Amino acid sequence: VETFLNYTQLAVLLYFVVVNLTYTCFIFISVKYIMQYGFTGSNYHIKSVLSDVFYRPLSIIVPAFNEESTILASVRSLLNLHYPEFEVIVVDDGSRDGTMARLMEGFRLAETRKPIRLQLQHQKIRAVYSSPDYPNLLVISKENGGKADAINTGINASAYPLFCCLDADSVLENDAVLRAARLFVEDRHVVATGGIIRLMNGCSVENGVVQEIRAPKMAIECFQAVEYIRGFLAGRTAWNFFGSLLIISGAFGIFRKDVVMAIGGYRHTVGEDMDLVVRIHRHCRENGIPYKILFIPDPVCFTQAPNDLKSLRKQRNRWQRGLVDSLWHSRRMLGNPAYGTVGLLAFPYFLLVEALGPLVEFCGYASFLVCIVLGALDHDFAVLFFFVAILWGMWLNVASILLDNILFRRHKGVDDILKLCLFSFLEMLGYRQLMTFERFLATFQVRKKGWGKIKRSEIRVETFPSSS
Amino acid sequence: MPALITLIHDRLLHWLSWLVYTQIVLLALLFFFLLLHKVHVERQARCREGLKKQIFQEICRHLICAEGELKRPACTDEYAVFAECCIDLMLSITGDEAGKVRDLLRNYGVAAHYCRMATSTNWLHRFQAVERLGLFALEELSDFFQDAIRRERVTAVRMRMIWGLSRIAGSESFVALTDLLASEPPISGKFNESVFGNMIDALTRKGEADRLKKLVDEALRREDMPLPLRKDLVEACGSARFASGLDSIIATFHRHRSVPEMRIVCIRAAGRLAGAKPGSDAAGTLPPSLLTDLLLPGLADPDWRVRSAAARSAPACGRQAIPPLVKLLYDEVYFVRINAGNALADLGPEGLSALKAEAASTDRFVRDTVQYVLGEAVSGGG
Repeated sequence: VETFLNYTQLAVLLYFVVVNLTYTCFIFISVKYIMQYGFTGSNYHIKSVLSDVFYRPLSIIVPAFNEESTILASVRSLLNLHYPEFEVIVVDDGSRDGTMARLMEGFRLAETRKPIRLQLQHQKIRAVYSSPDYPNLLVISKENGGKADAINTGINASAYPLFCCLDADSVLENDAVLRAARLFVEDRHVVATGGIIRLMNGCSVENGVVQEIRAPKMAIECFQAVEYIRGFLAGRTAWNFFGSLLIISGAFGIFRKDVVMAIGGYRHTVGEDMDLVVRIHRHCRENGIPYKILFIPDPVCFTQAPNDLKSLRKQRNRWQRGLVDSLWHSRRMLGNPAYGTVGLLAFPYFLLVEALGPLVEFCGYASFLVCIVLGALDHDFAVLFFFVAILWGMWLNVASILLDNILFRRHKGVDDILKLCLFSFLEMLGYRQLMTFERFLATFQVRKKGWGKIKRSEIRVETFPSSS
Repeated sequence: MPALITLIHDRLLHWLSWLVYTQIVLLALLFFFLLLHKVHVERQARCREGLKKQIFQEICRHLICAEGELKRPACTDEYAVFAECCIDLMLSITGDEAGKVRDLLRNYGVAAHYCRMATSTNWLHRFQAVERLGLFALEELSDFFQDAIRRERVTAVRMRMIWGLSRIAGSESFVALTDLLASEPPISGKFNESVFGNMIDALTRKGEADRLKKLVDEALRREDMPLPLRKDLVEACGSARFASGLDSIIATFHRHRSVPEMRIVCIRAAGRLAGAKPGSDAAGTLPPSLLTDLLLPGLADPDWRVRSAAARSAPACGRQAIPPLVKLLYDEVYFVRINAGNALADLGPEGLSALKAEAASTDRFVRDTVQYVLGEAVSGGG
């Protein structure tokens, strides 16, 4: 038993070293990419490329289910976007709260007879509304069918060749769409782009526009802020480099409508965002279509992170189930050279590190505890492993925060940076283990289909509080 | 065997302790670098903001009151700020005033600085320099751009150069740039369209519309011109409202009438150029072939995308388009039906009457379309 446990710990150590080395490489790759992006993506350049008539018009689809606390601020921020031609389509997915009432009142909605074509399947539409004040706003009320179903409805109702999918609790920076859509104008092979998601918690929001960006106040939010910075700037930027980006966040992504139509729209699953991107890869590779799916580190979408542990656990549980489900659905891509770097690099990484990572990590903790109980713990090894894990994790977090500050300078104050650094140190001491445990449980609950509604704070007209 | 295991164990511990020390040192270094960098960039940003305010005021005083001697930029930061101030000004003014700002860029060595920077070995610096030079839109840089494009190997920089040259294009540059776009690997239709659009604007501004008409016609007739690029040029003529290009567009339509994509862009561009407004009877002033060859036959095209584009452009045909548009209300494709409905609404009282006549149609899809379009027309949202 003792030998088995020792081998288990050694295997966990090896796994840990490989994963952290990969992440360290990602950081270096991301530095180069972000520097290049910063030099070539000036405001003048974007304005000149997308000026006059040389842009592609875009439909913004906002699926909403019980979002009465955030929907008004979110839609107002969208209507203030800087983009030459766009429409906002809010799809109320059978909300049971006052979402529709707020929309009706806030935008003086009136029922319209606009016919919606039925190209993608979805639940029955109850009514379609338009606003006399905002001609580019369309609100659809439909029977509940889930997020994927709501987005499919929005795609059917959309008029433009590009669509942007956005969460109802999110707020975009004014020029976010302009920056994300620029790539579609510059490169004919781009089929999807996604921007960075940052936390709204702690920021001040006025009339649906984020005015001042500050680090969140609560510890649980700060941990997530660090995770988001690391995940987006180091992880997704590096996958860009390999041309194998497998996730565009459901909170903010822009897609070419014809490609999404070709794969039958969104699939009904809890991880519909990753699933869509994986299926686009599959479709394009199988049909020999040249394509690019890109992450852009600059266009920012602010979203509310859960500020209570219960909501956070629900969210992580859903993410893990969505990840496993998407990988399983497209399992034929795994290790398949026909799918290029997606099949040979990204898929194995997502399977071994993202999907199975919690299992390996959990085994490591479990074997550690068993060793203590059996009195078989190699103290020197355990202490050193512990310190290596903590320090390497901290290094990766601090390097990600540095990446964020090389060009973007979102947090203006040094105190915010110090706060994020502090929580990047503390992340390894409890928070990570808790999330690992939740993901470990979620891996065995893949068949569960529920979303688990997350508690949201109201986005008030003046200030968005850090905690409710 | 036990000795070997002990050896491996010891090595592992040794390696792990080395890793711990290295991590501590790296983490400390990274942390201090992060803090120093943060303090430095924030200070630099504040200084730059102040400098920009100061230079902007000096430039404005110099331009408006012709008072105060402008200080010549002395370092990279000052050049960058000077250039930014001038670009901001040029984006908000036109004509002679913009010409005065361009003189400042020439006389104070800013253009020369960026021309030097455009020869840097670092492609990112070259990219930035070329972008600034493109925004300056100085006529005399035409040769510089043409030389630089020939030398440049990095695609992103080449594309910026092509864009920069298109903003100041003369008739020679038009031919050179068309050659370049034809030989480059395809970037994107919208990029090509914007380059052609810039050239059309530049040549029209210079009063060379007649020459431009010939150039467009020649380009569209060239054997070696790839079809997608030809499509982009037609699209650009429509977007840039280059009315003199209408004949060339009609000729292109005839030459490529077997390609649906070409039929679509020609109809779309012609529709834009015809510029029919709701209720106007623009048909009387348009070349007859535009109606008889492009727009009206387009309404009965076998390809639904062509019918849809033709329906959008149909208001240019005036009342002649009403019967075929009513027929299109019964089309099997949603886009065609909705575009036909909107076009009828745009045709004024006669179009609206035709729509009302179909409001009680037995076809549910026709009824839905008509009721929606009439509702929008009444509320003014159509």
